[in-house]
Amino acid sequence: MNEATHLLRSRPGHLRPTSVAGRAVSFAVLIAFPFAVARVSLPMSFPVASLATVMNLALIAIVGAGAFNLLVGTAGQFSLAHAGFMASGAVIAAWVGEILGRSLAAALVASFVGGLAIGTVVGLPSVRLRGVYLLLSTIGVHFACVFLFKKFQIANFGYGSVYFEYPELPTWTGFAVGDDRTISSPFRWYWVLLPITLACCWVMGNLTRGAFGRGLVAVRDRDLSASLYGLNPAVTKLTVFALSAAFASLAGGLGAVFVGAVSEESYTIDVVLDFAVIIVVGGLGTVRGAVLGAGFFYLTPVVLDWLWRRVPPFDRWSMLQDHSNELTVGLFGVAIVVILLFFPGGLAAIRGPGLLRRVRGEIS
Amino acid sequence: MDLFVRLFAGGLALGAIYGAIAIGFVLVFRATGVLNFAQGEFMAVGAFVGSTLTTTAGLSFLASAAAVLTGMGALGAALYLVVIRHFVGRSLFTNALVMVGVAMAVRAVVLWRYGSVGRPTLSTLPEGGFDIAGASVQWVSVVIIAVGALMVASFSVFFRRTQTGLQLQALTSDLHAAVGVGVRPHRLFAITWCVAIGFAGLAGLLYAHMAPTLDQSIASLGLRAFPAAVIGGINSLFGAMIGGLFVGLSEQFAAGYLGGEYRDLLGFGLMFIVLLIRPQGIFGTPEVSRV
Repeated sequence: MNEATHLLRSRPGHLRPTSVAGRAVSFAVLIAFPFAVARVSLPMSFPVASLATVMNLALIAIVGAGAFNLLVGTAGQFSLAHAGFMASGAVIAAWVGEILGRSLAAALVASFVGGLAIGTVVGLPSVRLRGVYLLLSTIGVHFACVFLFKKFQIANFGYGSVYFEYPELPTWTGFAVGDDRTISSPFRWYWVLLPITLACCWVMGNLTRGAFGRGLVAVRDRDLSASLYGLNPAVTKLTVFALSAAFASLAGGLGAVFVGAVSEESYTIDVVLDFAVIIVVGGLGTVRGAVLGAGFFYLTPVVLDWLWRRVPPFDRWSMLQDHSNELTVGLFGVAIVVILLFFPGGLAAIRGPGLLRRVRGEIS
Repeated sequence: MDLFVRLFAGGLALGAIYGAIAIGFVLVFRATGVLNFAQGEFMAVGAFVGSTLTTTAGLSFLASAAAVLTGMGALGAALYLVVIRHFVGRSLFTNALVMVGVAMAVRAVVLWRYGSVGRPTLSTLPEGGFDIAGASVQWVSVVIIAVGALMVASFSVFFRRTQTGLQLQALTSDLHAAVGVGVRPHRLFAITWCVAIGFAGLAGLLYAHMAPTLDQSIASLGLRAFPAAVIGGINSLFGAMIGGLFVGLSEQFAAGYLGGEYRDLLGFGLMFIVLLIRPQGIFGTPEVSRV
């Protein structure tokens, strides 16, 4: 074993890429999922069919929460501007896709590139400001983005919302049902969202694990010390801020086209707080954390709602059904506190039995 | 001119409320290093509990204010002793995330108890107003401004004249030295949380008299503590109140002269500019950092 492999092996499990076996299992599950949703039925009428939409929302949230995790978890910079970046992504997607009439791919690329540009400009304070000052400055960015979103919406779409037609697949893909190439059903959306999310995860994972990611951790832990090791904290901070904004903007564009109609209320600070739930529960600083957290965040309301309605003995207490939403929010709140207190690694750090760890690549 | 006077009085009242929550925010940030994201949720608790106390229990304004202040204060101390105590000294963003969790839990309880339907605003303060230069100024605004001034005055007495206040100052300027001479940090930190959450509740109760309607959107006012605290200086209590007044006034003038959509933009935009030019704010002291 040479030095490099030794170093690679000695990295803690959560920083290693998932093993080949782990990837194979994950891919098989991901490919089987949309077919299973349509066919499988679970006891006590678990709402399997609704999982298709939930999964699509989770796929979009993975991109946004992953971007947030890159900035907060890995780089240690808290931002409340990510809802604002998503709003600007939606604006760019609406402008390119709906007003200029370009394809979905063009709209999404524009969202990403636009987010990169916006992130670079508004990230400039991140070079100067640290910790609490940076966090607070991002609230200003958030409100500026939402303000511009509203101006754009009123100028081009009126007071209701920014709305999107169903996007169409390009002809060269060859997919069509009759003449219908629109991406309209959850099933079709899934096959569009999955590759995009996987690609984003791959890029963000490599950013986290590579030299760049280690630079982020060094700057996070002490930026003055990192500069003694030849890193440029200013450039590192600005780069990660811009990249995180770009992925958030992409998630915003993607989410807006998927949902079909978005307004100012779609981009409150609460969106960022939801991301906070996702990355704390899933695990700070890893892409796996964002994935597991998004799964938790979107599955919990479905499971709890089903529990209160269908599963004895809970179905006897109508109070639980009436307050399903509050129970979910409360559970998330308590989960954040408990996880930060007792399980700082989140779901991603759960070791599991030896077989699971071997599949994941934590034991080699 | 009458528009100006009306906006000025309304802005001062709103600013006093922002100042009150900003003082609580700055107090716990300075003492325990925790960014209190839940300040707005506690304001909502104060407003809703106040509405129950005044409408259902029929208490007067003073009685309900005293009840909210003590009840919320006890809640704040309990929150510190049960949860926050374990997070003192941990990284800034861990603490921020913890408060996000606390905020969600509090919101869930408020939603459960009071639902999402708006309630009528409170009217336990004297109705009507008086005229200045042709504009009517509401008594409600006057009372709120007076309570804000009272808060600042009581703070300055507390920090300069009382044993606890002096100990707290010692603790925030040098934790180890203060502990060395016998200051008990957890007791004092619990007191700061008690005061901060109590004031947030009181601010909520006051706001319940001037809000358009009582609903969950009160919680979003908690965010106004941030520009108020930054503009005044994040480690200055006096500055927090001045910053609050400044944000309240600028919001009222922006909404009155430019249009409602400029309301958020102006306060938070000002904060952004202050952060770029003078991050320590108007009354704050700059941070020194060492390797």
